[in-house]
Amino acid sequence: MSEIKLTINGREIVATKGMTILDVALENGIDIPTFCWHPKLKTVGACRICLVEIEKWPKLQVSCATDATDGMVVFTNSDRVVKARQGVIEFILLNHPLDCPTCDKGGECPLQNVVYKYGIDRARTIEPRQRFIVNEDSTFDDLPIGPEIIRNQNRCIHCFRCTRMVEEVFEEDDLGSYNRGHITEILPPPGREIRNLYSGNVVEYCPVGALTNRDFRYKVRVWLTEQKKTICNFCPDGCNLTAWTFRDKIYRTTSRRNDRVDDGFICDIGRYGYQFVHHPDRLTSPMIRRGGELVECTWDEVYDAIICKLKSIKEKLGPEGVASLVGEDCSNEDYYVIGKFLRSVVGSNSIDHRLHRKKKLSYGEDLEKLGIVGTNLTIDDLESPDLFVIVGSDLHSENPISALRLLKAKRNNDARLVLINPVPSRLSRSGTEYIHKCNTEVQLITCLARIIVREKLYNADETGLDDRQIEKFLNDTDDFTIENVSDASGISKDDLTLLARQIAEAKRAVFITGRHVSLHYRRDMVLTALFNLALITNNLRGDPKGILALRIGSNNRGCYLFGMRPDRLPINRRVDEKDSLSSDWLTGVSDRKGADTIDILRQIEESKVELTFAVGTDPVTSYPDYNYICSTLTKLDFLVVADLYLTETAKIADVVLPLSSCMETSGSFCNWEGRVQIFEQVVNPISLSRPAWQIFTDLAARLEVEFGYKSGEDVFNEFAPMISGDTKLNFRTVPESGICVPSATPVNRSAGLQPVSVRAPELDQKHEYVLITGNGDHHIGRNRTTRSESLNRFQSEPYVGLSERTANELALSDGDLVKVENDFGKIVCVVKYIDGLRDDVVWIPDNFPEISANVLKNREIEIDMVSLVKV
Amino acid sequence: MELKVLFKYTDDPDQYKMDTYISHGGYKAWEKVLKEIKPDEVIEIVKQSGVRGRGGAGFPAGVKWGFVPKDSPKPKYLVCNGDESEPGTCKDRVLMENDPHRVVEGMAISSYAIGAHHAFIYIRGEFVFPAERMRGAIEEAYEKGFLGKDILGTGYDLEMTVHTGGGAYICGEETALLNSLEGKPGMSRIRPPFPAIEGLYASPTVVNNVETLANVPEIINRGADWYAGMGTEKSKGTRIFCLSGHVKKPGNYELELGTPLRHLIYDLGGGILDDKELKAVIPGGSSTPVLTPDQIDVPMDFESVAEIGSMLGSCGVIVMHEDTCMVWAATRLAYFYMHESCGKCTPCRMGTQWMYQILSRIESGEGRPEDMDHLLSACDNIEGQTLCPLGDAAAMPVRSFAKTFREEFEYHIEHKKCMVQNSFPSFGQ
Repeated sequence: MSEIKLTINGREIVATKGMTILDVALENGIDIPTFCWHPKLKTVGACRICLVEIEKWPKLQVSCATDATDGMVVFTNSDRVVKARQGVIEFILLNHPLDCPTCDKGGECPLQNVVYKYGIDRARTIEPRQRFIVNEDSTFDDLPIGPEIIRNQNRCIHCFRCTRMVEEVFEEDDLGSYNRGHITEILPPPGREIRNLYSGNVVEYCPVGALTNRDFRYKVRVWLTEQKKTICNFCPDGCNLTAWTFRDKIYRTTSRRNDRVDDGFICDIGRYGYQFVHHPDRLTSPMIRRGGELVECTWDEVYDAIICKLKSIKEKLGPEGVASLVGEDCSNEDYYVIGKFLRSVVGSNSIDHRLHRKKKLSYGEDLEKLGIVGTNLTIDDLESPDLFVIVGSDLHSENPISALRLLKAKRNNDARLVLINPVPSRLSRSGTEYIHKCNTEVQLITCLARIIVREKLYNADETGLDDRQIEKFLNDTDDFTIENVSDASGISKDDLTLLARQIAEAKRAVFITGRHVSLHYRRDMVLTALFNLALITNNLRGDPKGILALRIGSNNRGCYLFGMRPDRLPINRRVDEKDSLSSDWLTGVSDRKGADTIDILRQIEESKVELTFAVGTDPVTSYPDYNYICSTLTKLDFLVVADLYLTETAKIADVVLPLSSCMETSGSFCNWEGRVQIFEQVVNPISLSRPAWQIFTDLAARLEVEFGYKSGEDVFNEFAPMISGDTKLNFRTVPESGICVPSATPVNRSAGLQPVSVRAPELDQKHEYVLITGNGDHHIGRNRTTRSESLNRFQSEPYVGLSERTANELALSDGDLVKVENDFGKIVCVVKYIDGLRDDVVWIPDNFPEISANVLKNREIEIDMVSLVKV
Repeated sequence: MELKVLFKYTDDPDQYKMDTYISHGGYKAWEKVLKEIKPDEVIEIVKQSGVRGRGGAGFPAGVKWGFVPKDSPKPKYLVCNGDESEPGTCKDRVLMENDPHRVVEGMAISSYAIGAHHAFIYIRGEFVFPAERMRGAIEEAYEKGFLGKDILGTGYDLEMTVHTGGGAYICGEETALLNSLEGKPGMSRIRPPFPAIEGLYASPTVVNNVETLANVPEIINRGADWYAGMGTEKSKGTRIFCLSGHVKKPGNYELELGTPLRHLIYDLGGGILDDKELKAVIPGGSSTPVLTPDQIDVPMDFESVAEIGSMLGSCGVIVMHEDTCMVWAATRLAYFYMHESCGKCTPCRMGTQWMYQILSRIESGEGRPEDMDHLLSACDNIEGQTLCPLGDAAAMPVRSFAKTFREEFEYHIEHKKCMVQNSFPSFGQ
């Protein structure tokens, strides 16, 4: 990068070669107005408002597209420039209606601001302004063009940010421009709507009031609002948001651009999801079960009841008679205080957040030894690979904003996307997707590794793999021949070979796994197979490493970081390593492992656990065995549920505590990178609700242990030095980039190739379809997104997804009712065709309250099989 | 005097057929180039000939080819611009219809020169027949082995594709043409990057006009010196002038550059229709500033026409006699440019609309005295400030009409009627 010197408005400025004049000006605080230019979009130079004069250049130039060069003399405010700029403004105002008083963009409108600053005070035009008439009786001409987006074409200044963004950044095709010249219109394709997962961004990027959304329009004037910094917690991406409030109510959330994390875009779930906060379903008061009914009561009453039970059960069964299940969407502060309460005040280590797994897994210990739990990758690092291999993930719905980084790598780096999934995913539009038969991931991945080895496409020196090891690997995996695996997985031999070669040829590949692997009965084996493949293709070298195992649950990394596991303490230290942490409260903590979810449930059955806290979690609808979880939880002597709503679990609880959401307290979240980011309190707690950290602080106080936390900030300040190693760090001094807590285990390349094996699962022969669940359009998880009116406009009804062929075989059409059943339960719901779905798969979006797919699951069974009956 | 190079055989009804074209010496240049001349030498010959772009801008063709990077790992493309849309221009159409093989041969040689293995010809949607002739010629060329793999055993491959547009003036602008060819809306792209660096599919691309490329075979056959011997010092060769409007014998005339405009109108065109008085001439297609009768002795070459404030452009000569209302003519032109503006950049999208709004008011008798200033200031705010030349093309004629014939505009405003007797009916009514 070479340095250049140029002069702007008489000021000598040093800049870097390759910057545009606009870049240099903005970096040096020189104001140049822009409309079409946006740092996150390709430059088009269309609006011409950023014209500048350059000495010795005959014509004015657009500063957004002209490179600054050494010795250049630029004027951004000369008479010629001002005249030209006024000319452009005059042209824009030729048709732009001056309806600012009734325009929702008023007060935050770039056009209004530019006219305010550079405009002339009289109009020379007498022509009536052009209208795109939608309603003859009104001058508003508002046209809904999607579930949320409303277009007013009259106001459009044709910067094309919206259509460029949809095409370039999202690789979607649901918004475009029609016609040409002054009658150019922004519209979705005929017969369609703009409804992509990122559609709300077009409103935020629109520099005028041409695109608004139902969520915010005409609700409040923007200058009356207060803005608070918050963090999205619907998925583990951790996008930065601004919450806009007026009189203690949130009116919208928008992107608070953080280039390290969200790159200035947020998904619709993050944008409209906040509506769950003010939903009338929110619990307003603590409740206690009296005479079989849950009745409202005071906090004192529930606290007394809990403390009373706690004492008696502890006396009867010892501290291990108390356990806690926690959800993955709580804040770090909640986790820290729950852990502190349970471990140091109650004395029990039985705490777990992993409620979605059927099988007792190895706690990830084997994987931890290989170094593929957690990650050293950052979201930024996703911009540099030239190949992404996505295994078992609909990344688009699970981590929408990380998915955009992959598209960015594709755009800037010609990166390729390969997806290996049991069900079709949205990212297939931007890459090549191979749909395999359910549960054949291990075979598939190992087969790819074998092809690479057999075709000698690996580098023995760089990977450090000797012939002996390779020989052993080939012998150990001789079941996974290309023929066998092709038969088992349903992917052709040619495709397997092509895929293997593509992976081998990549300079740097990143393997990303998601939901299907995270919930896989044989998760450890899938990831081990992937470790082998990444090792053979030399993608584990250096730092960051090449495997990214993403999990569901927005703050699952926070759960790890704050020890929401029976064997872990804060910063993921094992319970027997407690001395390595310098915190007073840890001294009395037992160094014996507690019980994990599976053991807690077993101990409940055996009456060894009689009191359980369920905080921010709804096991009745999320544990993969409905019958078992219901029968187990009802056996409990005392179930304490703290949640936002009266969930199915809350309905069977003995006491229900109204929880405050993250908008009602301050605190922090940890995203999948391990980046801890803080959020401010946005509104006061709804009704009588309290945040979890406060509830457990209160309970501790009643057991005569004073934690002394008055706010989430206090909790953060206590653990901040622990996670950052910086004793001076506190809530007020956290940098914008957050605190990055690195993965505890470095990748262990020297472990060499690992043995892999698969046992063919015993399939339930009575039922012919495999049940797979996922996220519905614009929804993630249960309970919260379905309480957002805006998100429900995209999809509010549950359905059963079938391939068209399967549906036809059963004489079912789109919209018919079907019964999905097996020995454990049944669901009746409407059918929807899903393109590309395998004929032996039933796909159910598991977000909607009407149905929950766990009624069809059994914790003992590896693959959930179901039958279909037309109703 | 007419000097037929490109039009030598266009009157032969069978010239579009391969055999006839070959019997007239066709594809000799192609064979010679493939077997005897290196690509760089072809570029050098074309540079020496001095042939300049016939689309309107007049950029030297050989120099343009020289901009294509030699070391780019990307494929290179040649695109022949057959989107002839400038009002008053109809030369490429004749070449494509009556002598399509000459265009194919010119494209082939040019592709070879720049190292392209795929050439496209983009033809405007309305040119159904020329597109048919071009397709036929390309098909014949494949059959004869002049196109395809391993052409004439030299190992050089060249594919050629005809692409028809949807009918938009803007797609004659090279970057909009490339967008359209890629299947995107026909909107101009910002430069840099120039097409020679990042053109079609972001790869190095040369875009040349049909007439420019049609000259190439003869330049190869007869040498750069022969070609450079025609025309003036800086404007070499011949050009096809498309004479239209109020003349007795409108049509295409191929003339040596530098031929006086008077000769074209009065000698070849047979003079003004009904022997009326000449009032105005547009010399180079509708976007070029208008000339008055006292200026028609100008030699028709790039430099001389520029010297008197207009442009040779695409050589579409439009003649208007004394009965033409200049306000009407300007309004009609402004309407065209408003209709054809792609809408991407502000000054063109809005400026063309405002100019038309003002002009149509003046024309229909609703003008205000300040309108003339507004009109000229709109021109100021468009010219030089748009993304592509369409804005200039729209503003230049309006400005020149308004300045040259200002009294007619003012008469319209003041008297709310036309100064010209027997004028055409009001436009738009």
